[in-house]
Amino acid sequence: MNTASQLAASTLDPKLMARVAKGEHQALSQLYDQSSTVLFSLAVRILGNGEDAADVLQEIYLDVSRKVVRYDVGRGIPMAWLITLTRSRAIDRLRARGPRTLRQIGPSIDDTRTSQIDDRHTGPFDSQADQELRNLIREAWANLPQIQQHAIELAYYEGVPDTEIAARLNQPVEEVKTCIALGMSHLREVLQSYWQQDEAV
Amino acid sequence: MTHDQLEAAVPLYAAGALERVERQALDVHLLSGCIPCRTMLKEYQSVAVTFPFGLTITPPPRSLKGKILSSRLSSPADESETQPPSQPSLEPGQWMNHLFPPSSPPATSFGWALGTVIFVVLIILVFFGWNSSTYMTENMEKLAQLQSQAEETGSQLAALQQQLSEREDTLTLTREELQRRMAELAEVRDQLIQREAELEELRALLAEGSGRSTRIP
Repeated sequence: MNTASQLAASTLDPKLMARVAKGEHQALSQLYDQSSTVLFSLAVRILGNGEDAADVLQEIYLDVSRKVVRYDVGRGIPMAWLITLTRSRAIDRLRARGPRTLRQIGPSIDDTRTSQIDDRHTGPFDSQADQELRNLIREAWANLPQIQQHAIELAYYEGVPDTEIAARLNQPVEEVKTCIALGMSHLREVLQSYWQQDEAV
Repeated sequence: MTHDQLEAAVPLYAAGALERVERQALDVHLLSGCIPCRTMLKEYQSVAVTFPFGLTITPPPRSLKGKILSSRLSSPADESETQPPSQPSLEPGQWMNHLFPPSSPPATSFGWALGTVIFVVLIILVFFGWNSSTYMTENMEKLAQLQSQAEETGSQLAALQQQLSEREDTLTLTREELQRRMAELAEVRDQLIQREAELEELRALLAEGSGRSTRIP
């Protein structure tokens, strides 16, 4: 990701996290600017509304700045850690709502037309590195068979285990497991190729 | 679960599709130090954390940043440093500390350190387990030897008891024989005393007879 600008969400600097933990107001502001769009998009996708998503984000940024949760470099790159944290908190909140309601299964990772509309939003998420990654993910995702997309979406965005996915998709559990494994494997190949290419640059 | 089954579960783990029990089984397997599965999981986790980048971009409300920053300012910097870190229920151990790209994890990470410590502890436990099993085997062998020795000694003791019993019988017979001989001896002595008395009587008669013959002529 050498092509990334300094404000790319995918290239958050671990030192920035350390400054946030030290209580630097400016650092927290910068962290928010770089990461909030991706995290908010994720929280909205999981929770289905902006209000709950905003609560989750507020909780996360305050916890990070107050050192309730601590980032350390051993946990990978900062953005990956923040995404994991956001996903976990959002799914916790989703589950706390009570019995799971069946949500409409549909494309959550945008097709090109949708992204053209939404990408008019200006901000840190428009950095070249993030755009490259986004385009790559969308393209790789679009190449997956629909059943693989649905199975992975249910698991990742709703925290639904394979047995329940099988019930929802009306498929045998083994079929669902195979679908997810194949889908993840395909995405891994695409991303590994991209990362190797990027490192070579 | 076999290693192949666990390995097949790795992409599902990264996607968040495993049941709690399956996830825990894989956690245990990873903590036991399976390097291929660890490497594979990191790669799949690196994939999973890129998903949000493909989502519809939804910018947060403009007021949110101000709200967060003002909340941060209104509370002391260290007010919650003593609070325990909250653990999301979905947090499946340090193995879900997503990494991307895969080459980024530093060697001195907490996950690695914890994994190494647990691995070392497992090795020690296995060593002690193996050691104690060897020790137990040795003890069992010794016990078997002692048991055979005890059996041998028991048979020897039984033989001795039999010999002792035979000796006692012999002794009893000897005692009875002795008593019988003593009784015979006592009878012989009585007969001797009786014969002596008869002899004395005869001697007295003989003396009386020789006195009468000297007066007759």
